[in-house]
Amino acid sequence: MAALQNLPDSKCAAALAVKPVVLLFGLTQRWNLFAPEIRTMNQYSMCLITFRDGSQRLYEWPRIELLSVFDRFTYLKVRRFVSEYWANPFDNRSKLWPYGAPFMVAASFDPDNPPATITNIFRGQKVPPFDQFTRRANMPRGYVLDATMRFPVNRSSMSTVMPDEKSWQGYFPDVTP
Amino acid sequence: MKAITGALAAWKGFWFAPASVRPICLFRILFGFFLTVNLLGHYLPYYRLFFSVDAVYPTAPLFFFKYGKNQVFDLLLLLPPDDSFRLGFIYLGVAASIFMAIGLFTRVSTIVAFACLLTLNNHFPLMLNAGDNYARLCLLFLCFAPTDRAFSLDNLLFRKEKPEQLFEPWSQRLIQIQFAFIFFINWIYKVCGDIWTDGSAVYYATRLTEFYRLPMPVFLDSAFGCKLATWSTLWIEFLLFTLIWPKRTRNYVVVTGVLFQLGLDWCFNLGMFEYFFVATYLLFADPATIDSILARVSRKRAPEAVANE
Repeated sequence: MAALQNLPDSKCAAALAVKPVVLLFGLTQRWNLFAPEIRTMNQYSMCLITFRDGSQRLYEWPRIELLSVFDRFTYLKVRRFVSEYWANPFDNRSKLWPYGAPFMVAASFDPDNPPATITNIFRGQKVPPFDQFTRRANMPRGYVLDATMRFPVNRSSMSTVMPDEKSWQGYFPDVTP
Repeated sequence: MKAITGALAAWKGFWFAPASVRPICLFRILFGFFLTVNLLGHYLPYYRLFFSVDAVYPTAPLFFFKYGKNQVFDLLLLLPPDDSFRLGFIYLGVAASIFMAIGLFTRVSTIVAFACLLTLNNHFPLMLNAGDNYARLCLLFLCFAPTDRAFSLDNLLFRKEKPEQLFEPWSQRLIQIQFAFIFFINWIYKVCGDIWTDGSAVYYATRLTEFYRLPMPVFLDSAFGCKLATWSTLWIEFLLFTLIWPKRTRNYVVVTGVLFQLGLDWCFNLGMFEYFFVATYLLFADPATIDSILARVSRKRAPEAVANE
């Protein structure tokens, strides 16, 4: 079962046949830490909440490199979720994005001035290639790549739908907006 | 025909020849402790984000996109929709892990710990890494092992006679094979990747800010150091699914493996990932070695140990 799950893409008939059992008993196995390729971009995400009167509030997910050693440890699962799924334009789970926006709405809800739009902002910075070896202390500090996804908030239900606007600025060679 | 019979006997011996319970009981203690730290350190602090009724993603669409129409094991869905119940469920998992570590109601607490971890993992799968998958599988296999027979409160409180110290180690072997299989697959993936063969993988991995943990060793700030570390990783991972099996080389590989995992843990913020593997090395240890170490620690004469093979 483990071998089937580790076949490339695991799309063979046998892998699909055992999938229900794998899911039911939590037998999921994908063992590819840092392999075969490693992501070569540093990234983080923010969320911009725009209220009906035009005022805005920025929520930034904590950035690991700015946390204490203890907080880095406890923040591990959130880091995983945010960097891999929340507003990540490289991820294939974009269908889930609108469902995350109401969480932000609820956190900033004011009945007199409810949120009008939620904008997820993804920021990235490529790691310099190996032939331009860069010491950690000299790594580029600015985040120059941006992807934004703006979700309009439904006035009656405070829910959102898929983004009405997407924009990719900077250089994303692997993404077709 | 003789060769086939010999192979069948070796196969049967590998899975069912009596072995000492001490390695797997020590593994239970260490694994239970790490699982407790895992639940307290990673699951509890941000439970509202992942497990509350108003979690960051509602359960229905998350399950639909992640699992499709398949069924998953999730006890949280059976609880009343109230955060206090869900918080209590995580504490139940913590309590079961502690009980498992100290060996109190060992079998039941192991099964409860597995059910809790499986539920939490299934409920919000977007936060999982390979360490969670490994912990879950180890717990599943531990449910079938008599881990209460040594180093347990069950022995002290409920048993008048010392239980049998030998068992059929198929559950232990499953964990060992799982362990070796992980390194085998990882190694295959790595040798298929250009950055591993050209020696630049460690450079990129150590430049990802989200994995920053403790100050990086100085040699990783040089191109040569990064190449050396990359190729060393490939060699060590190769040893961890090959030379960890022969008894003659096992101890050296185990020591190398432990140092390797602790080195990774120093360099990368991977949570309890490495510690679950460190605990697993106990299962490869020779029971005689374990007994002599324990005897030295407790300043008693080492009891006669049972050979593992």
